[in-house]
Amino acid sequence: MINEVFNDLFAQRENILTKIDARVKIIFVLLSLVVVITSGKFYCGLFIFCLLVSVLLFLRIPVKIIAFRLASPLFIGMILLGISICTKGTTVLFKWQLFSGQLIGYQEGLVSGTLIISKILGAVSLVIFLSMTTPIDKLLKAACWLRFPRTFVEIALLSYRYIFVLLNDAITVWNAQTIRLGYMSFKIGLQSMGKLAGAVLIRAYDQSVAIYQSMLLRGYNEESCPNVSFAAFKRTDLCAFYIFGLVFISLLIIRIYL
Amino acid sequence: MRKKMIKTALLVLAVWLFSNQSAFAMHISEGILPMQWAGLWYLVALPFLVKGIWMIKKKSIDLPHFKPLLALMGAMIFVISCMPVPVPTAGTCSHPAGTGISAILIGPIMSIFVTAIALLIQALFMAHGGITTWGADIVSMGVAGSFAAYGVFVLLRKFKAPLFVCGFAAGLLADWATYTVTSFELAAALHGQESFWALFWMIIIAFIPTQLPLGILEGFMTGGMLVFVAQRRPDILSSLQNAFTKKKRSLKKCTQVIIILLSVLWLNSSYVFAQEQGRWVGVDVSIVEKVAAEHGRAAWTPFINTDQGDLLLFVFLLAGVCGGFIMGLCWDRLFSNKKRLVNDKRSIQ
Repeated sequence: MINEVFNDLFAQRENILTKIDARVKIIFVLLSLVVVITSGKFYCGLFIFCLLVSVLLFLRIPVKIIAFRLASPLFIGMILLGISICTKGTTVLFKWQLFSGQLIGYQEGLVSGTLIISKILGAVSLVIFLSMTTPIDKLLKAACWLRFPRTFVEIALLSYRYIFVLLNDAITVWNAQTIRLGYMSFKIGLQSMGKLAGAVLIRAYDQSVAIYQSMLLRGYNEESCPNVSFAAFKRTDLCAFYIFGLVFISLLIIRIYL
Repeated sequence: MRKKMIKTALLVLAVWLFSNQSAFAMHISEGILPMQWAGLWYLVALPFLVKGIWMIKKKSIDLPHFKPLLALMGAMIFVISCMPVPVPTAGTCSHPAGTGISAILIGPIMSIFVTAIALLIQALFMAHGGITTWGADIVSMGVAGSFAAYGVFVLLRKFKAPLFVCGFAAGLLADWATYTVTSFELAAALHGQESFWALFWMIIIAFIPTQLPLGILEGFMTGGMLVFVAQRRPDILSSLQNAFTKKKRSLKKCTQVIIILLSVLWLNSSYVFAQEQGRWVGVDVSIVEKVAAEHGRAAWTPFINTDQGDLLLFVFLLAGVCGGFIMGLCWDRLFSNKKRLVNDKRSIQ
């Protein structure tokens, strides 16, 4: 499951959106993020969320994956909604008797909490849209175009590549420990967890040495990686640019007039 | 019927949200922070990243495989922060931060850099954190977590505490510092017209069921990990030129950065404090005096009213003079080298 969740498996598929230049998508996502976050309207986040989730479902991204990615931001959103209802405002919405005290919910808090949740939904759906339609290498290559430091891009690319290697190692050690009753009790489980993390660290260190040697053999030097060159925008990119522009203008209209 | 359906839907949503999913309480999700606050935290995080890049370039000359090592360290933080740890008190799963161990092994600045990479990948591929909240997440998890862990580790090593205890304290503080700063960031951005402190404590209380036991679990994990590596591969710990090797200088540097960080937090909070003026009264007024007045024992003017004129200042001055006199008398005992004094006495005899 974890492999499915943060693997760019879906971004590697061939479809209309994966063919579009990453730079166009990044610009659209960043601009829309600014509009969604600065908006004081509930509809703004909701509009972009409904639109992008429909697009993702159209691209046959499993609902399970979208729900998993939305779950953790929504968890925090729910906590903030609860806090907001109980602390913000003066118009009483409900009163509950709790032990010796009273729990009072306010209408203004509910409105402000719902606004936060709509912003979360909108913003998170934008990020999911970007990651589900753009492979990580293209994303980071576009980050170079946005003047991200190359050292950062280079290490991020290497990191992403080795996450899966380490994850497999961790899963292997975890399975071995489980078979040998490594998580039989809470105390033994704690010891096993420390050993598991230690084994992952040792593996990471050893691999870094081996990887550097193999990279040297394949012609790696500090200057050449990553060797980024940007192709000119194609006709499909320009079409996408206009479509994203229309969506963005609709978002602006919702923000201003609704 | 309708009410029943709504209740069932709410129950299903609550069970789905709180049972199987990990409580990723450490990162601030996309969309939560207003733009100006998101920008401010980006500005706070930026110098650390710039310094990190500068250090990587410098260090890559001495240690050729340093970049792949950092990349793997980033991957390791990612993998560790994906380990679901059951939190018995909350009945949910949460995850460790992983910054404690990276700060100990590669130093706090590098740890911030590596955390930034792990956070970016998590934001993109797990919706765990966000792009607009990336700066705030770097400050809470990277800066606060790494420096807290590194500082306490170096300090305890100086006092020759066992390796497991040092690792435990580093892991514990990395987690708790992260969660405290996250609460601060959330409360500062979201309190609006309401009281900052009320919201801050409320967020802390909301996160306590998961993060309090999780911090302890992360402490155990970090301690166990360090002991395991020290037993199996001590060469790794010595080769990284980290908290194990640079004791004095790193403690001094760490103190400097903690002071800078606290100053930044203080500057942010000064704005918040200005808004709180007059809203909060002390415990004496709100509880003691109130209860006493209810029972017919209202407070009266003190016999010596120090609020009159400059009396309080005079008392402080007097206390300062007395303290200075006593300190001057005991100066030799406090600051002179004892061995030298004994030698001097012997030579006189």
